[in-house]
Amino acid sequence: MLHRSASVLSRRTFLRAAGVSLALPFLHAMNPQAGTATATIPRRIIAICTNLGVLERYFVPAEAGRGYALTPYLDTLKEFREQFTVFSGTSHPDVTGGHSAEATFLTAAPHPGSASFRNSISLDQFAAERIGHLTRVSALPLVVAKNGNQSLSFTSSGVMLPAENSPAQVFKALFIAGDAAAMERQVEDLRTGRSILDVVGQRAAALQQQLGSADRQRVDQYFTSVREVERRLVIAEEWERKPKPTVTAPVPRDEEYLLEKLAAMYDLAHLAIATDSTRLITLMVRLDGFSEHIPGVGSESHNLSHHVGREDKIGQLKNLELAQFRQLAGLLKKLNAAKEGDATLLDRTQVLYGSNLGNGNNHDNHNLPVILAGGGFKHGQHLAFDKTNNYPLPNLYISMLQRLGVECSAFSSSRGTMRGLEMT
Amino acid sequence: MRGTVWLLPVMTLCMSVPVLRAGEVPAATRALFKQRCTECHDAETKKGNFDLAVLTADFARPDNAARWLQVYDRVAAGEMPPKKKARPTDAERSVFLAALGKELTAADGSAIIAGGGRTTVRRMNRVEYEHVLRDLLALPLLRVKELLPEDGQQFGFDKVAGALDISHIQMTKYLQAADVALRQAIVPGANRPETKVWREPAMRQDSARGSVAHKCGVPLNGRDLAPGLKSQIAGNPVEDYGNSYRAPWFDGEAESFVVLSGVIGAHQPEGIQIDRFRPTVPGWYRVRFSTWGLRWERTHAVAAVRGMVRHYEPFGLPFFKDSDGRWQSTPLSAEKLARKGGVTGEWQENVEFYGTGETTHIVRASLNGVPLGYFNAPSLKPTTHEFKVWLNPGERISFHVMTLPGNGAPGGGFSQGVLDYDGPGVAYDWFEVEGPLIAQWPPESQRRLFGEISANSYPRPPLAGAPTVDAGTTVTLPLTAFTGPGQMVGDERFLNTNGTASMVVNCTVPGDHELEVTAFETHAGDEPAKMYLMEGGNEMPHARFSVDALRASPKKFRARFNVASVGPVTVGVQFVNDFFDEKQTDPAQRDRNLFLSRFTVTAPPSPPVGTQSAKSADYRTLLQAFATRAFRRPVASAEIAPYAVIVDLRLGRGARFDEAMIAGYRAILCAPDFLFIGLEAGVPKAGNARMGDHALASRLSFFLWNSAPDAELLALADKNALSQPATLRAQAERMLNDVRAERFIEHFLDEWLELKKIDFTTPDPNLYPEFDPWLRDSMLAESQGYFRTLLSRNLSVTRLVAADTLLINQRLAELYGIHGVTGAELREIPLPPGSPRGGFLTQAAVLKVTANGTATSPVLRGVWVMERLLGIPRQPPPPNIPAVEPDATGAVTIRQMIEKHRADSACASCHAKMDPPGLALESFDVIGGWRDRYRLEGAPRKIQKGTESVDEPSLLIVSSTAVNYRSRTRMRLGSEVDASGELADGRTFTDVNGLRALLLQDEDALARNLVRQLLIYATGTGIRFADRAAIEEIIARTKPTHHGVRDLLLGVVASTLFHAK
Repeated sequence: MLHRSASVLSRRTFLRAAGVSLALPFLHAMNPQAGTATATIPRRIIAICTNLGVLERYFVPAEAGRGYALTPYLDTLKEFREQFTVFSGTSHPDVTGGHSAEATFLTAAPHPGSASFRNSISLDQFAAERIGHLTRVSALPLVVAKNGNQSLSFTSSGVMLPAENSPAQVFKALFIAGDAAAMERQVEDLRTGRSILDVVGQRAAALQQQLGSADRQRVDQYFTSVREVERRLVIAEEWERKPKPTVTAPVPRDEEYLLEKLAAMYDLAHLAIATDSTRLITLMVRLDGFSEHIPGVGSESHNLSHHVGREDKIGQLKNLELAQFRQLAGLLKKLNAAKEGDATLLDRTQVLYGSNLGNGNNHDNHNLPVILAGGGFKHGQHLAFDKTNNYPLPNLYISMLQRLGVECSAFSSSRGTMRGLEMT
Repeated sequence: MRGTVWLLPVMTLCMSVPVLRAGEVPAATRALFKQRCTECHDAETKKGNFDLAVLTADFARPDNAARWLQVYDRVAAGEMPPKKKARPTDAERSVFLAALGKELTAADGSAIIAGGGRTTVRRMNRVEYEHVLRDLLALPLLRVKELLPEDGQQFGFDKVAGALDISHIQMTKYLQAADVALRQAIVPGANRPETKVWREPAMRQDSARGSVAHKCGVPLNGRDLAPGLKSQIAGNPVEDYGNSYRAPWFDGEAESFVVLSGVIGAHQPEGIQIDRFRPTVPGWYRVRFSTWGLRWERTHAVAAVRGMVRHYEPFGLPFFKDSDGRWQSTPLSAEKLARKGGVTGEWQENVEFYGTGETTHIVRASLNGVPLGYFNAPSLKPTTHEFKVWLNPGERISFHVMTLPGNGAPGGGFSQGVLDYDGPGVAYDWFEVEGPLIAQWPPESQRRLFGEISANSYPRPPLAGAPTVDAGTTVTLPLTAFTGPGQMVGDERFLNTNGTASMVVNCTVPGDHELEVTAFETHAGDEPAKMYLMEGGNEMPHARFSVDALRASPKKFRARFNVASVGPVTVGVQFVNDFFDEKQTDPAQRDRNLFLSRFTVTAPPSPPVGTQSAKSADYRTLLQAFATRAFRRPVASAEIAPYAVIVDLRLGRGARFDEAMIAGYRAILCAPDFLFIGLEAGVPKAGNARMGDHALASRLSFFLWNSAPDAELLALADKNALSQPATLRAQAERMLNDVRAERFIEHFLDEWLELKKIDFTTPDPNLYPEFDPWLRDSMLAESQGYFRTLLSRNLSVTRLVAADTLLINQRLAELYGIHGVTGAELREIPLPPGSPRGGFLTQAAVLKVTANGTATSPVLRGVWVMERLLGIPRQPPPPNIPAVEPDATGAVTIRQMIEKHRADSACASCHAKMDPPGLALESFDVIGGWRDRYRLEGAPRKIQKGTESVDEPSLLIVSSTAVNYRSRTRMRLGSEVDASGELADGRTFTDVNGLRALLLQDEDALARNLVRQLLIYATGTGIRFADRAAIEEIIARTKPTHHGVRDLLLGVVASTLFHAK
């Protein structure tokens, strides 16, 4: 433990000796655009997908626009009424395949259920490629599930980035410092990586001189990738040398039941955002298999989602979904209470909450339930679109990316921003 | 531009564009073509969305050339002009085709020269990467494939340059994967592990005892229940009957252990394991076990015959507590028992298919879910099986029985589990594990990296500026030079936080060195300061000390460390129990710290001359030897320099020798020369010239072994002898006969026949309850074994669609409805008369990968036959047309849906070609079983037939499989299958045999397709127009053997295309 030495040394000497410097709230040195007023305002996204849909009757308001009457689910968020927008009549164009659309909630890649399906880049990774270097962790994919690492995050080549399922592990990685020797080892590894890349990069450059045009293109792609990894290793080394932020919260426990797991992940998301450890978080909530310790729920979640119209099942499902919305309210509350400069964290954090299923009962991927809270938009309304011919949801992602400060005019099949949603 | 002079006028015939130099072609022909083509395909009508007006004479433009190719192929196939229109004479057509063909060939030729060859260099795919590392590092079971991103595909294969991109993610993963692989090649300890034989009764395994507790297992002596099986009622059956059950246990010894169900409770999915043996050293192990089949009858085993499975309940209400306070149920009275003999539930095993004779059970061994083999357990005949497996520390082998029902004995409070059960069972007698099996030491994998001597015996360069301790001397290290926690206070080093204070000392002799530390503490809390003496980041042996000494009387602490590789060594002290209590009133008890006052290192005397064998310079030789194999060509010593720099750099910073070398090897494994196939020396820079021998060696070995060339191939390439036709053929034959050719068979079929999609969908358990993992594995084994047979016996390419034999095992025989095949192993049997099977066309694996888990689509299967067997690629669908969605409710048939779809003329032209073969395959369901009617979900219902209420048509599914709890399922049946159809050319068939006959009429087409698939696979690029002549040559040359599959493959290797860059 870091402590003051009573006997010989002053605190100042001690700190220097122990190699500790005070953590800065933002790492200006890491920000290439430091200095310009807008670039220094950190903006973030938390994107959450609950995988079995949300009952439309308790979620979508009857009226469009401002002043709509709160539905039972939205009532749990009423204190933030002016800080979120609820969407209806939107979906990802050509995304079909029921549960398989879990993989495309943030990518909008068409036909995830088809044999030749190939996923594309997810919202968070698209942003991470541009702003990921600004934080210790470029993006943080999380999952709440009975087991596994299923994630909402996919690379540009459609490879899933496994999500973290243990809040304790993530907490340790973000906030608990390793000893100096471990850090040195890590830095040494990164340096070895760089010297390797340096050698092979030079070899590729030499080869390019000797090859015909088509071959040269292939080797050029290799060369570019090598340089890109080198760049990333430099950044990783800088981060390795920076002290981790100090938080007072205890190490979270890895819980067993749905609501406890969810609460632990939301707490972690809040901490990661508050310490600016990352600006991009995704959370996959896989309800399958959960039934225990949820008030008013007796059956397994997936089974409940196929309620086949039975009111008893719908009642339980409502309790399950209400509990999830209350947890979401908890996250918004925490973000709203935390000040950062002259704003709250919620002002700067876009919280997207939705599902890959519009209707869990029949596996329909249209009319997705979607809320966007905070993050610097003019909220407080219900944007209602055509329920038969859905409005493209990826447009919302373009709006979100632009609000994040990322240049983006096209995402998946979309080419425009969300109609009716304006920035503050 | 020779040829253009008269070709262009021909082209004008097809185009409305007026082009010069008319008149060299007879005006009549010109008029004829003008009339034939442009009537429909002009800019206005654009029939089939094909507009000839946009075509130009610029063949260098790929899209333009591609459209011309379409014109060529449609005219050549006689599809255009269409039948309904007036058609050109054969003579007219051949003049046209010859001219266009010449132009297309010429355009291709110049494109090849401009692009620098027919092929381009490409990176390895991840399958190849894994095999290469396995061979290079002599680690036969290395798994690194999963560390790399999935590869793309072009022309149906993941071997094509255009689909094998490199991103920064790919590159990052290469860095990681190389590190993972190299570390596995090195053994941690210096000593050869002892090879031991471990053997224990099966009943002693924890999982066997666990399965008794799950009411799935029985201890056995001879054929009788072993004494000592106990049970009691757990829970409170009076107040909470639903949560009370009978819990058996057994803690005695027994000769054998019988398992009665395929699934052992929900909490033991790993089955029966050899769990009392825990490997501690990674390596090869030989596993032996004894097993046999039986039928269990409450207290004893009898011959394994199929019959009734019975549950008995000899107890009833009331429950009462006995004198020990345990719940008991009341034995039934004799009269009650006599009713139905106490039987409360029974069902028949699959005697409908198998009869009631003795049966052989099938046991699967697996490791981490990956099957290692299927073994027979014959009735009452203990049989010893043996296999070899690579085990990592802590890994355990699992056994599951494939032929037992999912559920076994009853579990309630009114029966005694296995003692009230009659049903099939499998006995295990004992398990034996021998290993690690070591052929040599150090293991071959380590020799590949460090030669004969231990990785850590190589001397390393001294670290400049660090003190040196020579043989037989003692050096006092300056405490001021230490790094880590704490600082100097006077002459002493003061540690006030936990951590390691250390510095580097250069050791110049190998052997045991002694470290001596003089230390004291400032005391606080309830224990003295604790320190560990450290070397290279690790604790030294016996070097944990409590520093129970104060400033007035410091103590000396000593420990020894071994230096194997002379050079810089980091030594230090770790302080582990820092303590500070601000509230402590006594300042002397407030803060516990560690003080070091002296630190010395003593070296052993000089070793006898000549014992130090390795020299520092050796590592360049090691790097060079490794790079030569990795780069698949000779590597000059100058080329090694940059990699040696990496090693130098690491050594210079005090790294251990093996760590520094791993960094150098990692660089080699990330170099373009390693990752790119085609960069081997001797690749011509441009043109359609022949490749050098080293590139040829790589092409051959990545083709047939999916890996780098072995020493023999490289030696031939070094002598430029490989490209001699006779040598090349002999090498190809050698490689096909080598076990590594299995990699080709498996991967080629994975890609060509799409077998890698075998797990893409899981058959709906409600519709196909009989599908099980054994069937899945058997399907793959059948198709792979079948191709192996075609290849080894050089059987005709017609065997792809027709055969007079089948290669099946018991499980496949059951699926195909063939009696009399017993056991897990595949064997060749004559095709039973009237069987619809034969060839890949009707193999279960193919039928499974072309269907989803619920329904079949003739479109998808038709496309599969056209693309995979006939080589006719699909055209993309017109936009805005929804795909055909199969409907399992039975309301509409798939045929009705397809016919509706084809009513649209935009769809019809392609679907008329694609669908018909799929329609013939409608007779096969999603798991490859035969069907006359479609299955529907749910139990059969009563339907009104006239005035009568009758059962719907239904099918009884009996599965004695391990995964399904339901053993007999009555399945609703829907409409009848109609497997008839008409090919695009008008030939008709009524069923799959009819289709087969039609496919057999064009043997050349089957051969041509296989050659094309092999060529794409071997050379990593698509087939171009200019390749056609070489392909036809192979077809012509293999005619005498009816295109033997091996001849076709060897023809590909001998072809000019295989040799061309």
